[in-house]
Amino acid sequence: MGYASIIDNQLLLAFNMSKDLARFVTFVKKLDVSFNFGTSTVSETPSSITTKILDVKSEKTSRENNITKKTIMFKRKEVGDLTLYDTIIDGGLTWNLGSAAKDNGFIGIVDIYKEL
Amino acid sequence: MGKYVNLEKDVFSVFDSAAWKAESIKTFPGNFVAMNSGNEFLRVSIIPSGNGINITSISGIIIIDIFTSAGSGPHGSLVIADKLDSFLQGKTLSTTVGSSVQFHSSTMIPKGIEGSLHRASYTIPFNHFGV
Repeated sequence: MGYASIIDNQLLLAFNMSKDLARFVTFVKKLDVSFNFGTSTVSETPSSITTKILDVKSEKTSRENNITKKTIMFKRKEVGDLTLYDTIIDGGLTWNLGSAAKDNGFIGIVDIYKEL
Repeated sequence: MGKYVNLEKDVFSVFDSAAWKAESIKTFPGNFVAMNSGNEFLRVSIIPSGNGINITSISGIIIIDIFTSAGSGPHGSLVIADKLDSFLQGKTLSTTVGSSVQFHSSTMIPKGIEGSLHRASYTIPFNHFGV
């Protein structure tokens, strides 16, 4: 077994050992996103992945609008690449992804946003 | 529809046409995050910022950002600009009764390298007429 597989397996164990600190959410990934100039609409094909995440931090800001922002950690191998069009359903609420996601190939970290 | 949506329909009809699609240049509007855009694509932004001849008309500029491979020189973006000219410059378009848009003379400004791409801005003023 290579190092990458060992790390992925240990990561899975770490998320499971986090017990109630980690929770299941659904990543709704939008595939084949395209823009139709004839109708001025965006078309996409949604695809769902349910996986565990961990909260890294949470903050609320009030400027032109009230926004709550969370930084979450997820298993990169399970979720894959994320785009601005993807959403996360957490506790029945839909969160939008920020424009930047970081990952080291094993753990992904992304900011998610929801208007209050 | 109002003047802004009619203007959008008239302008976007160019990029929805079979002739433009045959050019095989990936084209996206502003506020759209392109996926699999490759190293040559366009981003179209409509700036309806000027007064028209009446309250249902408006003027402004279309800015089309031309992205090409960084380090490949200016030729690629200039070829695309010439193609855009053939579709827009001096043309009058209408997709809705009582609405038309007239394009004037274009200009090009090289903006420089952004990551692995070079961006040049193709700009063309327009007058949109509504009744």
